[in-house]
Amino acid sequence: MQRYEFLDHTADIGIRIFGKNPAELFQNAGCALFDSITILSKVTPKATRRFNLQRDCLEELLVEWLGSLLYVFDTELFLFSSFTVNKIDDNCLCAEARGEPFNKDIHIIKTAVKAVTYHNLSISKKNEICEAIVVLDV
Amino acid sequence: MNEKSSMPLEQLDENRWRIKRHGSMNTHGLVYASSAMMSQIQQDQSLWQVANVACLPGIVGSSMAMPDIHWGYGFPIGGVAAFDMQEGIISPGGVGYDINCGVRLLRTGLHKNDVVKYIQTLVEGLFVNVPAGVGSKRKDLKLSMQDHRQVLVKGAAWAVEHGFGNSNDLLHIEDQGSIAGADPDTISDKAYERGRPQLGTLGSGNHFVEIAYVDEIYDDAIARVLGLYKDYIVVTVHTGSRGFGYQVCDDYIKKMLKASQKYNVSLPDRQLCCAPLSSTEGRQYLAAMACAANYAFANRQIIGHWVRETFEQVLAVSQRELQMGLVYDVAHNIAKVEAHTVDGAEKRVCVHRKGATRAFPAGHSQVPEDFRTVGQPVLIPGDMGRYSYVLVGTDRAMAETFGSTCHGAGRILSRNQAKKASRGRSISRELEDRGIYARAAGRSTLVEEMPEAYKDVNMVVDVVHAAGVSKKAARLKPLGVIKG
Repeated sequence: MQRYEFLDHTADIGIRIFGKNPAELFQNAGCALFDSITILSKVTPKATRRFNLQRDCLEELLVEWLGSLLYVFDTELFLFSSFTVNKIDDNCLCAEARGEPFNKDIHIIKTAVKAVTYHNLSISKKNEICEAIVVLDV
Repeated sequence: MNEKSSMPLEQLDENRWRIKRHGSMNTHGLVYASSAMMSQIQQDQSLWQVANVACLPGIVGSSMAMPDIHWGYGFPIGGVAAFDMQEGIISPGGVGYDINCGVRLLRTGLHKNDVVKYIQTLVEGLFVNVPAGVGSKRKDLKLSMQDHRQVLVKGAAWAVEHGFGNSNDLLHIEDQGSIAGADPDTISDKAYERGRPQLGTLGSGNHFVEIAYVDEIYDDAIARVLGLYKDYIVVTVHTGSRGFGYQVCDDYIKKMLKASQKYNVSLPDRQLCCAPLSSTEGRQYLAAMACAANYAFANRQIIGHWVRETFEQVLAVSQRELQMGLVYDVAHNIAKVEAHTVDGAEKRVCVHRKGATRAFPAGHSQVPEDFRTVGQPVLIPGDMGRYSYVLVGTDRAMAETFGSTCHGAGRILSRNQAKKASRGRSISRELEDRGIYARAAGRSTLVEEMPEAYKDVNMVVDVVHAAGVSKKAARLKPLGVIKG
């Protein structure tokens, strides 16, 4: 199964993400975010960060998750490449992300993402597959 | 709004189109574009975004879009909308993540013939002196928490007090480089954390410092007042409030999602979440947004100072010989409380400009005294390869667009499309063939920002000029650029 695809959006980056369940959807969303920022295969999952997040609904939780990853990247220059969701429901996410600090001799920045937006944000279920659409401001 | 139904669009004249009020719209949409541009605009969702903004409560006048309109998130890029201070709302999505992203133009006393041979060295010098790209920063600028709070209140004046530029610069910045009402207590720890290391950095993507020359003058008298002379060198800085502004926007969108429910505002798009201007949430956002706007003014002031230093170093000239004065500095992602004439009476409204520039006319008290006979300068950067423009504001803008005009060329290709179009080509070599030396920090920046990814800025400017919402003063042609 395809994990995600990039959609054409004039000014920003749109991503369509797939997953067998919300946990896989959120893991794949983490990959899609960092795939737009860097070359994922060059990021070694050396160190782990834990996230416990709460929001009013699953869609907002997805923005919170990606926004939290982006915040760590922007403040610590830390790149993630591997994601595990330990627990998820409509309001609450416990997850781990693994990666390493940005090293300009190893890593390449493809696009600097400014923010994860709520524009056209959706999570739906089609043929037993969860599908989400997120637009990144770049 | 339902995107599957047809858009009731009528052409008013050569450059203006009306989206007729329908569905839950509270007012008409008004789009400035030529017929050729309109067929391009109709290919994405931006007209629906104009209609969505018209659905928001308390909108005054039309929901407008300038000819550089393109599909954004929430509001379209190029969107202008004014809201009543009592009945209306304020929306962080109507300002954008990069709060007070804007443009600064510096003039010099240098003729292009004396500078062309140094362009590569100047560009390399700028690339060293102005941090560009992810994680890049100057070791000699460290911000304490106390300084950070002062930046948020004082804006560009903080930078001047700390040796970046001079107090004359402040006279030539929108709102003198400091928006009133900024309250550092409305800012989250996360925003402070993101903002502290990023002051004095250019950022990535479409942000740049560009060396250009004045290649055409449209109005001698206006250009002379602005200090612009044919074939003389100018420098443009385009950047904003960096991670600080992004975090402020993100924090307040979260609050506004709750506020929209609390105040029963029905949202056609979640990104349009908002709160009444008269509510606590609305006032808090205005105070936080002012902090981010002031951060951006300080950022451009600091970078402007490093641009001056670079020219002095590379050309081994004194400040006096360089004569590098600030022409003007404008915001193009902002919401401002301003006085406008509505139905014959003066009224205070909150004007959202998202990818749009203030364009106040001659005689307006907000226009710097030395420019008051000609109007406020409006700075319109184009793409890397073609032109940029200097316009001035007009009475027509004041009457028709709440004193607003376009902000740039506007993208037509997505970043993916640009990558496809550039396959097998060297964009930097193509630019060099056109006499432009470009240097970028990001690997894909030059490709994503290639000239053909943007509308031709000439077309955009011709529309606002012909429609009378601003007036052409001069055209600038690029020679060298650094990108994030």
